[in-house]
Amino acid sequence: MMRRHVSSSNSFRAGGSHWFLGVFLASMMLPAAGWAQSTLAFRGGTVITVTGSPIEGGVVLVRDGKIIAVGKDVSIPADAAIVETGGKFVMPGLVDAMTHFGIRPFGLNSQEQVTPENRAVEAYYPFGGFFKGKGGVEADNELLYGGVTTVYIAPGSTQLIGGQGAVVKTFGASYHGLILRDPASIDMALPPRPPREGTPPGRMAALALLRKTMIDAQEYDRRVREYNQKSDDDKKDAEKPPRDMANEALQRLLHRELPARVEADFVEDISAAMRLAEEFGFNLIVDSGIAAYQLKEVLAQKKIPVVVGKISHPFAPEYFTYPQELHSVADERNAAWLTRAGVKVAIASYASSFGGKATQGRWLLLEAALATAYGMSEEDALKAVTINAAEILGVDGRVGSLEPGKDADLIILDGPPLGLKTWVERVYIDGTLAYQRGGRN
Amino acid sequence: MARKDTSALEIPRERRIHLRPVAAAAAVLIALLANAHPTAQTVTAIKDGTVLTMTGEAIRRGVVLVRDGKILDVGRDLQIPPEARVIDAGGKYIMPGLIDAMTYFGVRPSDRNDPAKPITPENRIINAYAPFSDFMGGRGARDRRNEIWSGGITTIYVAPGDKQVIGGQGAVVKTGGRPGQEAVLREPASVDMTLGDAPKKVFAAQKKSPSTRMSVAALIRKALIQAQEYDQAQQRQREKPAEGASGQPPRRDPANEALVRLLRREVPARIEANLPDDIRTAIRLAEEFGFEVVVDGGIGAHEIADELAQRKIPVVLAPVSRTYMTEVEGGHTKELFAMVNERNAALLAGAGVRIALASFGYSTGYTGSAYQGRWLLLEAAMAAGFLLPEEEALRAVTVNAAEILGVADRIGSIAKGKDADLVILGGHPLDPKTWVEQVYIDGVLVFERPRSR
Repeated sequence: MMRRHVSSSNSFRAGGSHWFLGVFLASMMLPAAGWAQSTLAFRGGTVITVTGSPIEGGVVLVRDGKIIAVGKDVSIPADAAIVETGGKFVMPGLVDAMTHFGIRPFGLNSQEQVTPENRAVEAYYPFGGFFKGKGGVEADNELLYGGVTTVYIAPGSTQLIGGQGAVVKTFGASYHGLILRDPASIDMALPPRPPREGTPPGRMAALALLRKTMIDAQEYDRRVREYNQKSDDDKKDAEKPPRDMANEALQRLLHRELPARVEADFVEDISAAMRLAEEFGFNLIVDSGIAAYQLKEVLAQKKIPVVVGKISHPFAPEYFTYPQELHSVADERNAAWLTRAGVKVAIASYASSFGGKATQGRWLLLEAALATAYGMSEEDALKAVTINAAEILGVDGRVGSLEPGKDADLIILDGPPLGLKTWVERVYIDGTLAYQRGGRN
Repeated sequence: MARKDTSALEIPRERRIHLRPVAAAAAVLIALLANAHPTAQTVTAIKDGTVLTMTGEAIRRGVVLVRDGKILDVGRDLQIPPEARVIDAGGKYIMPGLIDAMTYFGVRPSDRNDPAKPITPENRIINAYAPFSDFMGGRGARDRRNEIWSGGITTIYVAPGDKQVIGGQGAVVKTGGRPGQEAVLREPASVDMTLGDAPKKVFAAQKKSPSTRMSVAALIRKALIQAQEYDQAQQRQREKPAEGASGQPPRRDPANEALVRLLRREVPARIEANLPDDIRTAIRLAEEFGFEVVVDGGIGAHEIADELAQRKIPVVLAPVSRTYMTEVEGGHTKELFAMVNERNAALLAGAGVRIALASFGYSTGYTGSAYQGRWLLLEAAMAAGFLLPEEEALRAVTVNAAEILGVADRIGSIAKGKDADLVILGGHPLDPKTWVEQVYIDGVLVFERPRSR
């Protein structure tokens, strides 16, 4: 199956068997959307760079899949293909900092509590028709449809340490071209979720297990370092520490090459995660963080970002989201309060992407719009689904804003991005048209 | 996006007039609230009350000066600085915030024990401590905290499980604080153990060892011997890093690390033991391994008061009133009922044993009236009713508890330099009709008795 998708073609949409038709049609019908080698000028629209002020009637110049200029008075080379964006809005492709997208629902979690060696990319299959609804092109378009061009894919959230997440684009020249950063993090969750064998009973035991795991990793790290520092002669006599995938993953955490993403909603769980991060010296990102606003000063002071879940979450039924205990804590102003206190906030979908009506991607911008209804400034809300998310994921050198040198991942909208009636009209990834709104949507 | 025209929100002139009294009332209210919540930097003087310092004589019409959350001075004829905020406590009593030396407060029942394992010294209660979260249905965190404050309790010891042999490490925390600033006074504060029937029953029900007193004691001994060996191996490695069989120090182990702290007398063992033979087991273990021990529960401790006094082993007594509960409620066996003597506090103190009175309370907030904290002083009053001298009864819920918990340098008495954790009461603290009127933690008012109650 997979070979059929990745072989022969240099264009790869994370889509099903219609990929060829899609690219064929795109190249026939849209002269401006050729494959990345040309120069492209987006001219006339309101350009929201996210990192600077909006530019009315601005130009975004793209060459070879990269942004080379953004501004009002950018001279457009004669050979450039021009995309007229007058009356429209141009902004960077959205970055969804937490999804379980493209992973079979029963492939998310392992039975064991601690599996740092597991990697989400091994289960990533964005074009599979494995959900009850539609797979393939539909499942993929679901994201592009909402202007989402980069997603973080996480291993499951019912284990204490689920494994390594990855950052992928939603469209690319090849399957491997989709991957922006892998591994991107070590994914954890607190408190322990009960219904599985071997679950530590309660928080004390869970934290004791996490501490023990980290201590073992520290010692593994020390043994490896001591061995590597030996001279070649000494190495002959010494016993080489056997490779251990789990500890190698945690070593990256200890060396601050990767952050830990800890899904924690209660104050005590976020506090426990902070204690753990402090003791073992790793970078921490709080995921979901329903009660995070209660800790906003501490999070700001320790520079711990929070990837909040959907603002609309509190309205979902209990079995779908979180235990009753959290209902009295959940507050739609969480993102706004955290931002105002100086915490870096991303808003993410936490979506598994069921592929139903293929509209789920649209929710990311709608969530940002809802956040403005609960006290977040429009500027901060847009940052929360673009540059902040990119920074938290460690890919802000490539994506998250419209700046020269960054990947030409941009979307064209028919109105202000936070307008509830606004639709995404086109999505470009690496300078290539990945999606265009058709009559069906 | 369309913006609302803010001018439309302005109130028409003729309607503004009606709002004036409301605004004035609001201003007064704000001023009152501001007055009730002083910033920590100003000097506060609590004057004209009877000050029970716990370390000296009661001071009638005394003054307590507070600044930056600390007690600046206490005495009878103190100069009150002109800029000081004055609280008139005329006719009232001022005492240090109460200390409950044994609780399971703020921990979800599901987080309290690790019931599949008898020995988990690596477990730390601080990781399960959730004073700011809502759980147990009905009542939330705020109610649970009010419950505690309504009794004037400003510091508690939070214990891990009561169903395991070695449950884990306890913590001493103040009842104030905010999320992220939990006001932890000491952590780890102990290694918590349980002897007697409780663990025996739990593991017998699972058809597992330890199901007898002998096997409980044997398990603890084995764990401590392992910890001794672990400590020695670590020390050998530190002294002669080059030697050692593999050239590698022994693996770090959090369970052994916790027990090594005990062996090095950095923290005490809190051993729940009620029958004299269980208490003697605790003493035997402490003497064999040279650790400090605090006896918890101690329903039958008075029977061996001299042995405890001679060894300077303190006892944190379970509530006298608890012993009247049915077996189901109190969890006591018939054997234990036969041991109950309401004068145990008086007998122990009389023999020279340092005692604290504690609630052993879960404070789950579903006990009804949300006044559970009030029981601590009532217990002290009852102990006084059973011949414990009044000063000793009050010390048992303040300075003695602080000393047992190892935090007496910070709290437990009203003295220069101590934390300004203070309680103002409407009458004498051991009068059962007395109510706590105000509670201050680090000089900040955290609780005031509602007028309706």
